[in-house]
Amino acid sequence: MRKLTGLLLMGGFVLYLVSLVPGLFNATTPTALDSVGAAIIEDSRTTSGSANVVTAIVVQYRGLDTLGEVTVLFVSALGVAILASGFRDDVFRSMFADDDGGFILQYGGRLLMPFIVLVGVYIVAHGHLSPGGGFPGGVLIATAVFILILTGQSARMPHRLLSILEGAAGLGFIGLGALGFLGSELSFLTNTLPKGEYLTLLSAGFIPFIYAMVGIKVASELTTVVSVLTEAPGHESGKEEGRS
Amino acid sequence: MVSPMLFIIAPLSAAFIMILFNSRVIALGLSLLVPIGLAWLGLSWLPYTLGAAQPILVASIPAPLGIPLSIDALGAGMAILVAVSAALVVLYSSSYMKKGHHEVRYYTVVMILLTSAFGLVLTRDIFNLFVFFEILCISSYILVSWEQDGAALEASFKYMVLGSIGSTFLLVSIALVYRVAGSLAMADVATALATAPRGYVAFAAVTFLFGVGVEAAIFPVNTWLPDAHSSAPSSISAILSGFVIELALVVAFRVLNTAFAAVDTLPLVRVVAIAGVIVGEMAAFGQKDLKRMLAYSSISQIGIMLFAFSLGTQAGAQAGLQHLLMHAGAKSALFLIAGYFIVRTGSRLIADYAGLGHRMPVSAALFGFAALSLVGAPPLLGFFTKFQVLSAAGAAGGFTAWLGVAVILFGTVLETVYLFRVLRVLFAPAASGSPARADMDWPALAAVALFTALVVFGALLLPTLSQMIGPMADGLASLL
Repeated sequence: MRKLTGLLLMGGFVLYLVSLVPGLFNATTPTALDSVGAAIIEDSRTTSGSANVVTAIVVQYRGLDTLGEVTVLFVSALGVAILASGFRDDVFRSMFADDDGGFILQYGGRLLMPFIVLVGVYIVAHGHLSPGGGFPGGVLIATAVFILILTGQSARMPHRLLSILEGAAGLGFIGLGALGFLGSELSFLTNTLPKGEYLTLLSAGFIPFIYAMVGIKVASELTTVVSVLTEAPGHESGKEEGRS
Repeated sequence: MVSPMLFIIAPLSAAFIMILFNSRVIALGLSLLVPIGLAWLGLSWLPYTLGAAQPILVASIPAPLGIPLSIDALGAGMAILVAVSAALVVLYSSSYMKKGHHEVRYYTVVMILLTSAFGLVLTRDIFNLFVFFEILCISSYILVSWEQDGAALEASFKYMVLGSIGSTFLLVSIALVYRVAGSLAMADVATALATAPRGYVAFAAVTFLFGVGVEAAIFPVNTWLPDAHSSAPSSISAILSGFVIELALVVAFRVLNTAFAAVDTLPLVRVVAIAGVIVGEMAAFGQKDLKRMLAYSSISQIGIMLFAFSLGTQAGAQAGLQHLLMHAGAKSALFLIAGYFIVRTGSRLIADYAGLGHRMPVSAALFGFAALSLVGAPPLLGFFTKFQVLSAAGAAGGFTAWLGVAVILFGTVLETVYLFRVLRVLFAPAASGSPARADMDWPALAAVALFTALVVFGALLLPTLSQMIGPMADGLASLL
């Protein structure tokens, strides 16, 4: 049955191809490669005030997509948390040594942690000026927690606090976007905050604030994922949360 | 006027608020109030969209630099359908879902699913479409795996593998399109593809159809559906079969029919639609598990809608949309009632429901009405919609259209046989004396009764609907 399913699937695609593409392989390569990219590079300084054009695209021009990506991560992390709470056996715990990792690893991890968090915060805060932003910065902050878990010091994570941060940061993103309704055009995600001086930390209107929200959200979600997977067996906190 | 952006903002904010407060009362209240409010919002926008589509500006940046959204009659209509169905399913869930088992998270994921559903009908940008498809897929995987037993996990995993393959193809198609169009707005894509080499456009169109076809359950990439829709909790089966696949179908067809209009994919689509009808009905005929039977029936019903759309005529599009409305009501009701059959008997097999009609008379009667409408028994809505599909096909003419008519009629015979088999078991004489009555709990009953009322009295709505169905059907062939 499974082989049949696979065959049907492949067969279906081949059918699609064969019936529609008689001239695929002798088609000429299109030459008109004028894209919106050039226009955005021209326009981004005035529209967004962000020195980093990539950030301008991510947060301003395609802000709705970014809100969507944040939602993808949010719902995926939620899914992992739900699934992990149903584990009956010790799947992930077995990946970690039973001993505490030793003195050097533990103290090395603790020593590194604040610096990693600092770098993460720096990357989040400078997203509109230099490469980086909410997503990579948030991942870095979560890494700091992951190092603690790897070195065998996984204290129980404050799950409730993490989900409060998660929800609040999401609402913050939407709230900053909703400031756009105050503008003259009444449109969501319009950058209505003052743009400030170009190339300074407090510039680009709402972009650094949105990235801060994304950073908090990504960091708290990845921390939840990592801690839920390592705490999974016999883990009660998920059930408590669900029961409210 | 309240901005239609609220369709995306409101359910998403509701999801974040639920996670923030983590309280059952807040979650349940919000997930009831938000869809009701959005249904009202859709109704208030509907009159304005009948004349012309209303563009929605995002971030004050017009296309092609920004993301164009727009609400047209089709979008408003689908949004109302989604919102009303969601409100009723949430009402049902309030008594059906087990208390405490991640209940808040359940409503959160449902709200995210709603966000993506509304996003899909509003967006006019192919990459934004991809993002909302991803959200729709991921929240569906989670909801399918909800029971966390072997069957649910397997179904969800299968669904995820196929869905990911589909998403990859969709992304490849978007990349191909962006290469020639240099813009992601569907309107620009349509213009650019009109002059691009035909083979190239055909390749992009096929990749697109294959990618979205997985989520829209178009034959033959729908192999995940019977497992997923039967293993999910029944409230989720109702959402997935009731509006998610229909919505994906409408969106997929609209994009194929507008942005990729440079190649004529309609004959191909018609053939796969007819194949879907016959395969779905034949597979449903052999099922012993009620929910699997209903899931296979969804495959064939999707085929009927796609067949109607693929006729390429105004009458076909109208008939397809009306059939979609009927199927949303009937299939939601059937899945929701099947959920309580399973709760009361502890079994999924039809054979174990013998005499259940005496224990749950109201539920079984509603089941009967919904099933009759699905088959197309005369005074019910299903009769009119199926008849319109057939007459539109007759008017369109041509070999494949008549083949479709023959297949749909044959499928109807099969459908009648297997649904009546269920009804006969339900109303079989009870085995032991007079069993205690145990109908559905009242919130569930109310929700199911409203869905059934739609398919029983829906024919009375048809005159009102006929004034709006024209602009809605036009939405399948225009992007504005």
